[in-house]
Amino acid sequence: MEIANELLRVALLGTERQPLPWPEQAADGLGRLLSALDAGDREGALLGAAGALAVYRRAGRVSATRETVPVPCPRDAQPRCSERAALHLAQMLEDPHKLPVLPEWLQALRAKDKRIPEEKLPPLLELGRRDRELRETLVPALGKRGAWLASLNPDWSYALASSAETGEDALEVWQTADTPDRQRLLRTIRREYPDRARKLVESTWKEDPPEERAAFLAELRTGLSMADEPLLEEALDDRRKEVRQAAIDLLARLPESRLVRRMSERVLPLIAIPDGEPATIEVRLPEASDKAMQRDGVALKPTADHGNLGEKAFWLLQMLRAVPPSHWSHRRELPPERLLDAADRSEWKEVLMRGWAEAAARFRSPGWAEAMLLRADALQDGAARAPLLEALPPAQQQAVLLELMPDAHRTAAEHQGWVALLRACERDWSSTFAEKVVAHSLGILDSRYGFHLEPALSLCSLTVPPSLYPTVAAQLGEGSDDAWGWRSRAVEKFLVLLRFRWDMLQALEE
Amino acid sequence: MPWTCEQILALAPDASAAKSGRELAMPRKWVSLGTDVDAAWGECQGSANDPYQTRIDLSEPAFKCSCPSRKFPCKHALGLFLLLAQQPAVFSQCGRPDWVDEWLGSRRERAEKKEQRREAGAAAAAADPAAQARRAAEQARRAEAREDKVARGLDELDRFLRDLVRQGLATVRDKPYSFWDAPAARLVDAQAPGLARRLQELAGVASADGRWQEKVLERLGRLHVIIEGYRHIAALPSDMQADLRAAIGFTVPQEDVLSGTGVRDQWLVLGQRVHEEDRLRTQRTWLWGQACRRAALILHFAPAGQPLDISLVPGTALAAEVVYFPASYPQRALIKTRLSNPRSLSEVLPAPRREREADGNGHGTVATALARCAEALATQPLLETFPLWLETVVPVRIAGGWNLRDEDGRLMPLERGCGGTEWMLAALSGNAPIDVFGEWDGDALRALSAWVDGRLVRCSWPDPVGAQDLEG
Repeated sequence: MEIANELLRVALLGTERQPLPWPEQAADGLGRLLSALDAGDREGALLGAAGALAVYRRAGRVSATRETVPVPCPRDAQPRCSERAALHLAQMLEDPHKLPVLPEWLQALRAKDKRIPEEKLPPLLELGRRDRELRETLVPALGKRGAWLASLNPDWSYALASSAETGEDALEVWQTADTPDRQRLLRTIRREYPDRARKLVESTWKEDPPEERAAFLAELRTGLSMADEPLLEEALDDRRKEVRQAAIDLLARLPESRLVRRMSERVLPLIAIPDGEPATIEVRLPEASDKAMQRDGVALKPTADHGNLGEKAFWLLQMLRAVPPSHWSHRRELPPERLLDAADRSEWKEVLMRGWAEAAARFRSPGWAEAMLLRADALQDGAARAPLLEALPPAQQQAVLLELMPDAHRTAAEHQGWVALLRACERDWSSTFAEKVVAHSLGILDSRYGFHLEPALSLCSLTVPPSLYPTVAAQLGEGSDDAWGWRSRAVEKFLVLLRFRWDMLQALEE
Repeated sequence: MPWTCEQILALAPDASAAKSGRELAMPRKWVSLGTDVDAAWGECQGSANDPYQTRIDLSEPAFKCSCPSRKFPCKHALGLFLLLAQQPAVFSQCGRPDWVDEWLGSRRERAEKKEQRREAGAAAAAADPAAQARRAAEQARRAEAREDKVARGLDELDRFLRDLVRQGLATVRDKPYSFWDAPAARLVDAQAPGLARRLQELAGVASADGRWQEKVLERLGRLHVIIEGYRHIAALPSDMQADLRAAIGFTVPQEDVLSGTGVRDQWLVLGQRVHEEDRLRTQRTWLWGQACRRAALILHFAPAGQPLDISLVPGTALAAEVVYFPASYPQRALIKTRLSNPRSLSEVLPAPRREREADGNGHGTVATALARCAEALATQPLLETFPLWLETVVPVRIAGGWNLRDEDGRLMPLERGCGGTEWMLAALSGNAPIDVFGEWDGDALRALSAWVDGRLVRCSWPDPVGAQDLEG
């Protein structure tokens, strides 16, 4: 409107510098109103006209239009989760102590074939943007609405790859996505179609920068098989050390690989187990290093964490860990325990023990891993032995942990070592195991080592099957008058979280 | 009515009370639990010897607990209420204990006494003409003194505005906040707080991006209209006088409002927001009359940190008599009489569109809503915000800005920078139509809630300072 622009111009410059533009007014209502103002009172007329125009414009506001009709996002068939379940979700989103339960909730939601309340999708997508680990459980639970929403916001694009993961466009995403997304895509495909995943890696192998090549090789650890061996063997000649190292790490897990065969040929002549009781082990150190050895990953100089080993002893260690431990038990058909006893008496005890421990973990030899875990000193350094525990199937892990469970007379380090092993234990605990771990933690909690068991208890609150809640709560004196008088905060926290998970899974049934 | 956990948690005075309340929502924490139509109660073992006695009057709701907490409602009341919503089966139905009955009785008595006092006061005043005359004289003297002060305040504001446009607005953007705050403070002294607030808001408008010059001039013009209007107030109709007095900051005693006749209707609680300014919290609750199709704004004030009224919960509906403050386009109102306990909105509103009456529940399209707003402005030109209930709209993003698009393709811009509300609306809609309720300030809509699939979802975000109105 011309009059409005004129007024604004004068108002900006000031009426002392500018005369009021008082053109002939139209005969409409606004014009009559404006011409009623006293033009002699410049400031009053300007302000009065501005006031009238403000209302005039606001009342006469015409909305913009948009012809394009939005295309509705396809509906999700699953019913929305119950209101109580939505409340649990809200609690996890605002309480950092409860957030670790979110993956379990998301998995249960999917298992019960429910969907996330729509208004919670933006905060969840935002959370997944910051927390990469969460994406694994979050993305499959987002549903069509979540994927649609993510497609509108570049910050949430991580949630989109899922549609391409197993579909035809995987190759296209693989070629265009950024590194973390490619890694995630690779991981997902690898789980179900290991060959297709490897072919993706091969398709861009020549162009990808070395850091990515190393990262992609590391992803092949899932579903590793001899089919991957040629690519890995080829990678031993890569120009970059990280890539070579990643390849060695995987090849040394494939008992049939050429690398393991070469290592066995190198190390078998160096170790002798002569007949006789008790068994003894004779060790001869390798004499010289050569190019072929170095290509297979036998480094020349001991690294910092092998500082106390001589050069040649270090070479031997590296060879030992690349050979399946079954080689040694098959020599004289001796059980691992007997060989470990023999190694204990050898002057090369450290090299043998470390080499075998790493080999048992890499080649997942349960017999060896169990034998090593059950040795007297196992708890002294629990964290270092966690990989051995991981080599065992879940039931055996739990059996070993129960066997090792330290009583109140053990040292603080042993209690800590046990908790470290407990952390490494697979998550799906049997009820019996869970009950025993809880009882143990609660029992020790009152002793002078209680402090060390607090982490165990907080781990329990996330891993114990929630169905145990009523039993545990009853044991802790449900409803008794001095319910919390003597209990530590750790117990209360444990119960609150366990109860929350119990409640949460029930609410998803509704 | 079935209360939802979300509605109950919205009653919490702060996050820590909400958290503790949730943790108390387990049967094991309670020694006894009971409920009937009007109330719920329970005894909770706390750190003291005797369990705390917690009770809820479900008709409002109102709370009472014997714990020493100064928070209101306390964690026990919240825990009890949540438990009732989640697991009603654990509550026994075997009759109220005395400590609940007494409390409910005393509440009723108090309400009756208040009513009697009001009637008695009116009767006494009528019976004693001399006292009545004295009081009237005293009131008139005070009113005259205030009129004087306000008139002087208006004169000063008038000079300030005239100086501004004489020297030009080009430089106001660079002025410090004190440039606006100092004259605003003098308006507070002159007992014109409404004008003071409008002046203070100008500091923010002048420093905002986009068309600030135009917006500053508009607001200066509106202030000028109020000044001029008030100088000629005697010549105006009484409703318009009320508009002007409300804009300046004169208050109307609640008793005067309550003595008027109200509108009886089924009132839907559609939106609520709280904002804090100068250590004062203001809660704005929007009601919508289902039959009269009018909005009513209920304001509650509390000093920062103090509890606000919690008897109106978005997503519920109640039959009530609502009285408006005098105005030519009445918006602000009080609840005079509650005629029913609150019910869930989903029991009152037909959910799927196809079952609705052809003309829907609210304003309908953007064009209709703007036309209603224009009609309102025609009777009350000083109106600042106007509540809109848009139906079957889809949130769409156009060139970075979010809008609600109605079935005719018309757009209603959403307020920018509202911390994720736009994404929440988009998630709820999925490009399919939803109903959105919000406050329209002439430039953008601030969404307060969405009605979708038979549930009212509140939009919440940290409240920006400013942009309040105190009509009435």
